[in-house]
Amino acid sequence: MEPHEFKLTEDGIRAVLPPLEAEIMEYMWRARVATAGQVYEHLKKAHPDLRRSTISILMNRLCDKGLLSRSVDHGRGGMRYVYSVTTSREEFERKVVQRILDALMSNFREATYAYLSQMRKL
Amino acid sequence: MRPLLPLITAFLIAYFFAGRAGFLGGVIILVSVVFLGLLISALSGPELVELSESFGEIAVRIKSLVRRAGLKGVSVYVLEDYLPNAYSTGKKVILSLGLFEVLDEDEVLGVVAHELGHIRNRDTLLFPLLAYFRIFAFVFPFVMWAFTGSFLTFLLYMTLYIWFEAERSRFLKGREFRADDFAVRILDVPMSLKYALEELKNYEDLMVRVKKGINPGIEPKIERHGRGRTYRKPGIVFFPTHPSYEERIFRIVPLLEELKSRA
Repeated sequence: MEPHEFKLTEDGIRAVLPPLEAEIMEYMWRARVATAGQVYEHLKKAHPDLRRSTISILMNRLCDKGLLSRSVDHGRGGMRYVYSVTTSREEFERKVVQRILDALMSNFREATYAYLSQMRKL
Repeated sequence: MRPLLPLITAFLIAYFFAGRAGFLGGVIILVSVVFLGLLISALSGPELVELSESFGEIAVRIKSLVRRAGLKGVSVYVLEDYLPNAYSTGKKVILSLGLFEVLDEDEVLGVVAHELGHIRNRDTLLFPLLAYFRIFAFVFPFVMWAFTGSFLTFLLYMTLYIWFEAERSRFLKGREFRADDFAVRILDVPMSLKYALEELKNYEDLMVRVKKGINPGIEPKIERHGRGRTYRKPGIVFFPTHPSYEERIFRIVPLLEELKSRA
């Protein structure tokens, strides 16, 4: 996943993902594999008005972004969709930093170099 | 069945303009369209998995619902598709896997009950026939134009086509309400159909693109383009085949009140 936006006022992965998508990813990085129903039950505690359809749409959007993958599970309980993480949290954060620094280097090369060397001295 | 009126009128006019040849030409085109339609639908179709007991409690509850509906020979299948959808064809009810993700068990039963309503009301036979008649109603003006060489005849037949579309729209919407009426009467939790429609409306409001299937289905406006992953919401629909979710919920609520007061 290549972040296209970085919100300076938000913390953690919320800086690059919408709030609910960020919460889903927080859960998915802990669970690694889960159904949309399990994610819904978890998030419902914090968001009582949340709908199943919202979670389903957001999880499929995260699949489109390449952060999750969807597959059909034929286990006990019949067929169902399960979602798995495609990248670890550390790898995701590394990609975000890499993408931001690449953008800074191509747009503000001198200033970025100067700031990075100043930070290194500190 | 009012949608037949414009078609009968079309045949009478064909007889008036072109005599027996015009009438027989119409019959041949209509029979060919229906035959081709049946052939294509028999040869094509998605891969389905029968809903077995391995699906757990929900499969048992669906089977019990089918029994309560008094329908014999009905089977329920699951289609691998993440978009929530349900439709019926012949004596089959088809539920997409996405439906189980978006709705809880009671709500899925609400949707199944609606589809059983279509089977019970013989909509699974009528809806495809109307779709074939629609193709005929659209093609016939061009055939008559070529046959008579009169543009006025073409305009007259196009007017009949628009009349057919209006009648078809009204007829299909009425059948959706009838399927809802049947559903709430056989459900353990009649309110579950209302909840299912609300959830599906939320889904549609959040994302969407459209498709009109010829088989009766739960979704009014969601259209799928092949196996594509894109969606669009229609701008203006001149002759909708489904009432909106709001219209359906608006009709279900007093019906539920009536059922409650009777109980």
